[in-house]
Amino acid sequence: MTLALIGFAAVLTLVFLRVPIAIAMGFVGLVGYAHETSTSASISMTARLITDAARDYGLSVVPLFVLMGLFVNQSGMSREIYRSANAFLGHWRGGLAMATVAACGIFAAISGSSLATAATMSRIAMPEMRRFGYADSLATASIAAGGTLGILIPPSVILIMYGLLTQSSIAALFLAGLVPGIIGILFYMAAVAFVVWRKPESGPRGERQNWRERLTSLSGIGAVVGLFVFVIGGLYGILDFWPINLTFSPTEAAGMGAMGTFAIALWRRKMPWSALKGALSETCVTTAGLFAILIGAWVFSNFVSIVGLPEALVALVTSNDIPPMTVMGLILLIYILLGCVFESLSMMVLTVPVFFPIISQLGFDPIWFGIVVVVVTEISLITPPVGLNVFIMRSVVGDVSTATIFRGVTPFWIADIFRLALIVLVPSLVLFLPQLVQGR
Amino acid sequence: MFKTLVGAVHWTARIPLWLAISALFAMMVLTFTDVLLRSFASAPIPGAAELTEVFLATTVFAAMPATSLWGRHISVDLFDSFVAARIREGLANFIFGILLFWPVVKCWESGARTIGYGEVTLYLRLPVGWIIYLIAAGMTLAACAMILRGIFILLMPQTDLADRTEGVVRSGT
Amino acid sequence: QNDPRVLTIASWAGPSHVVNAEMWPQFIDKFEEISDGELTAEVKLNLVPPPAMADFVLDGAADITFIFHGYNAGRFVVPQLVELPGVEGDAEAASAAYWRVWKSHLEAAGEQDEFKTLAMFQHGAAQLHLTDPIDGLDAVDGMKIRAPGGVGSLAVEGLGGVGIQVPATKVYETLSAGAADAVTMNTDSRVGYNLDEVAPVIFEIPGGLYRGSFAVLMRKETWNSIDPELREALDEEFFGEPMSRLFGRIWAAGDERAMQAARDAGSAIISASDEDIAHFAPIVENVTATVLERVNGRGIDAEAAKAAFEKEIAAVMAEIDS
Ligand code: NA
Ligand code: NA
Repeated sequence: MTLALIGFAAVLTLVFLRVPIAIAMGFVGLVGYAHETSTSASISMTARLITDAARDYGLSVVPLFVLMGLFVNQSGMSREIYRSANAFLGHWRGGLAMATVAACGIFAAISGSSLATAATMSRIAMPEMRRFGYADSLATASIAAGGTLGILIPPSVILIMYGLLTQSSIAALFLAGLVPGIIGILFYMAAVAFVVWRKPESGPRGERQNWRERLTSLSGIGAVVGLFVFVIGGLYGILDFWPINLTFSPTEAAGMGAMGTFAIALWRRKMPWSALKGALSETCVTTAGLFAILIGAWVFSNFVSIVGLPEALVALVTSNDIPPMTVMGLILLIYILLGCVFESLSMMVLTVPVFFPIISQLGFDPIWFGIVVVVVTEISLITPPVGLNVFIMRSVVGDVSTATIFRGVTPFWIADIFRLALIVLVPSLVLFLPQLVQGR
Repeated sequence: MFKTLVGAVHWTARIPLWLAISALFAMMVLTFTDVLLRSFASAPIPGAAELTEVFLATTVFAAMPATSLWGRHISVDLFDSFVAARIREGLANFIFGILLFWPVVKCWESGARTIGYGEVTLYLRLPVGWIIYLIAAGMTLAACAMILRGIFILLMPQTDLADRTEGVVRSGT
Repeated sequence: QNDPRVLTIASWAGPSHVVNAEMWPQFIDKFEEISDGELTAEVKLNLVPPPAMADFVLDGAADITFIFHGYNAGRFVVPQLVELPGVEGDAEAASAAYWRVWKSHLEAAGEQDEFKTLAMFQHGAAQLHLTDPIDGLDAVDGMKIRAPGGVGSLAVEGLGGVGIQVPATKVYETLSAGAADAVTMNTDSRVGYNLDEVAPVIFEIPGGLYRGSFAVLMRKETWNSIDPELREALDEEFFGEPMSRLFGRIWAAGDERAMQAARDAGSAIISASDEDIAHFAPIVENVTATVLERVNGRGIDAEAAKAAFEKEIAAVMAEIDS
């Protein structure tokens, strides 16, 4: 436990000294692991993670969804979406930020990953909100937070992982994620409302438009709707009838979406060679940065696992005869603290095997706990100092500082804590849908 | 003379980036073609997922030098307003660029060993050792890029190390 | 007494997988018992991806690991001999027989010479797990089936299946999205991959489509550092056939449980008819010919080894039955 804490402190120190996060986590993990085992063992572990970890089929969604976001922007579709959103909601303060949150929720239905959701939406939404005069802090924060919904609203890589780790029904988990996902959208909208109530200039009111203008604006989003129906249709078997029979998995949805968007951009003659090259190279450079962090996080997570952090955490929550709800509270607290440093996948793999047995023993519902874990994982994505969704925004927008984004994210983070409390205190919010559909 | 040198340095990041770009585009076209062929002709592309993995590794590691040279690794800038941000950034890149060779050398060894075993991928029987070599090469260039970035920032702050992705979209236009 | 020496087991797969939930705990118990508390071991999960596990031990990053030979294709070739379809017997019998044939025929190929091999074992026969019922094995022709690579892929191709080649971790989403109609895996995997949800039909054929081959490996330096007397005791009482058989037995019990769970979940279980078996026979022959040639390439008398494997399985089955 002490060693793990020293490790955390070392990462934070290096990060604040401006060492890239990937390098900070990777090297502290490397040195710590070497201290615990041997230098050669640690080097072997690190090298194998470098050479093997990125060769993961499931991770291919990250660059493909990033690319899709760039293509959506390049093809002019993002402008059309926001013209329409502005026509309907622009006269509200913060209306476009609220529309962004909702759009993130909708995009989450085709993307299984929060990183991918944030990466895509940042390309689409950020330039538009800037164009309409939104403050960088509000604009980036609404995307970073809205993007976390990617792993809660099905499909979800993390829920599949949880289902496989705990042998719970993945179908039930997917159903269970829907209502908390919608609650998430509403709470984030409330956070936007709060921000613009405190600082009206951060989400300026647009002109109210009449219904004719609104309906005209809708004609522009045909391509977007078509694209969405295409991806959703292939994903949920809606296009699976003779003679189409088009079906694809959530992993493949990224490639299908990117290709579909590319085709639309080509059709509209909005994909000159320079734009294609720019989008591709931008995607590659962003992806390399994200994978560096993933690999660094894995090395670090191996270190804290080998020094026995998981066991220490179990001892912490099971030490005395404490009532189940207190144990639950402690576990949530631990999750929120771990969320400071971990990215979603390592957090899931590190903690679920540790806490799940305790939770089942105490009689909590495994499906419900899965959703709770995903919500705290979502929170980790926007918790400083290592919040991957925030870093995506940082990496995409370029000229906004991490500090600004984290400051902007604070109200959304608080909204998340309220949402977490709500689903912990009212489990039926999570469980009634799977019970209704599956008769469990 | 100096300009030529800096230009040459940029090209060591740009050339592998072209490889990354090609792999990314190929990955997209591959998924699309595979899904269509599977859905309409029941004839998926053999080893599509495995090819995707190779393309992904290429996308990531061939772009790593560019990400490193152009300072696109994500770092926290919370304290940038005070205490010599430029020197800290230069030192961080220089020192950790050198340290990075430590695991990178091991990557090369691991590739050589895998080639010695004649290890191949499960479906397409592609030589795994060469894929590891590719990754090791990307990491080697990335480590060099970090060192160079550090040197340029520390000693020649006037050097233009700006992003070369010619980002149409980054600026939001 | 001094504190015991703790060896590190680098394992993979999920924490509730039979390997981690049952095989390692029993291994550790036995290990402590024989060494009289001098040695023990602790399991560390998923430190590196599965294909890297053998090298991980070779580098001294862990003392013990288990590997699936198929993940290092081209490096481990001879294990394919025991993966062939059409050989009856459960995982326990197959694993015990595997150890005997390993010692008598296969070890000489030298593929695991850099390690101390503690056990060679197998999972039960891999069957077809389908999204929808089929009338017979000929229905597989043209069907999209997630293929496992190696011998299993040869069997799927032989049946005319369209091989969907995705990693095992993507089986659930591939089946649930309808990107594949079936998967071939050992029965126990139904639990680990939630197949009762997405593949509610099991098609069983005696001997299955293939059997996966595994080894438990120890780092040579670790082995040599153990007291010679203790080494002898471990070899005598546990390593080798007893351990292979134990791991096989645990897996067979896992298959049994998964089958029961499938029945409880209302999954349909179809048994191959005589026609199906006749339909499969020439395919088995082709697959066998291909594999024997590969194994012969490693300087092993593959025919003799195969005959020995079949003889030993029958012998162990007879032991179990009596
Ligand atoms: Na999603
Ligand atoms: Na975090």
